[in-house]
Amino acid sequence: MTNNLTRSRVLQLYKRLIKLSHTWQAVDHPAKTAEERLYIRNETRSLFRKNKHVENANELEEHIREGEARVELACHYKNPYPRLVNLPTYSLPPSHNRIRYKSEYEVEDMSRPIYLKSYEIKEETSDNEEPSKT
Amino acid sequence: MLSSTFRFLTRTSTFVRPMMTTLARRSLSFKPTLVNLNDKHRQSAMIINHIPVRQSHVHYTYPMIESRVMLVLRLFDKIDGDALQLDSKFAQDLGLDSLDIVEITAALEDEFWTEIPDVDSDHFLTPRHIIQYLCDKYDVYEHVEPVSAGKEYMEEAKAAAERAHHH
Repeated sequence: MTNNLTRSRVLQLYKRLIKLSHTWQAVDHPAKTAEERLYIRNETRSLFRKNKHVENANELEEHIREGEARVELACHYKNPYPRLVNLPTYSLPPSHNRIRYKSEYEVEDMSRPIYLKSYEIKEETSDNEEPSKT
Repeated sequence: MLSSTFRFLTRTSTFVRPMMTTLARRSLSFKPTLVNLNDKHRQSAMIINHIPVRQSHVHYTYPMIESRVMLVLRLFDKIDGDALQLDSKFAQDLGLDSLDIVEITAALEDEFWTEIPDVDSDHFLTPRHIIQYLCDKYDVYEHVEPVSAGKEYMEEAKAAAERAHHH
């Protein structure tokens, strides 16, 4: 149940991003200003619509944080594209036969940056399926 | 005191007016009409809660506002230009959600060089509402029929006097 405060925060963030896409100037590659503006606009549109149905308050808070982080990073580094990350070097790729302890999940959670939250691929677990949300 | 302010206004306005006509209508710095041009340190930054200013050489009329608003709406790629009417509701007829309304509001802010807060853009349900809002903001009332307060007021005043007389 999104209350009015979070709704207005989300809409303000969206407006800020749209305004950014109107006035963005590409510093490193000036010829690509239009391309980067289009990228910002399409990215905000698609990700906001993709996450439109998030109801959980914590998840919503995290997504707002993700949006604000991406805006700040883009404005600071003058680069709208997010910096991609790999798994930490000391972790193995997920294998379903292996027993993973809670600490390993926690390390993996901590190593994922907040600004790539919308791009996470959830592992499908066959035994523990959550009830579908209405 | 009044005459000195009047002289000040006419003097600055005659100094400002040739400057304002040479500025392009979509100039980036949003200067108020009467500006002290001798003050070189004044930053011409965009002030967030700026009072909307009618540029002195631009005459705001209802057809002008209406055509600009419809142009901005037609340029929006999620709106079907054929289905767009003055009274077509954004949510029901045109299939737009609140994020699209925010985007339209941002485009209108850029077009009219003014700020539209979220509390106001929540009430934008049809293009007519937007046009009415902007007319209110820019004091355009040519399209509004004048309500004659004379006759109805006299009748109400008479009725109130009757009631007071009888009690």
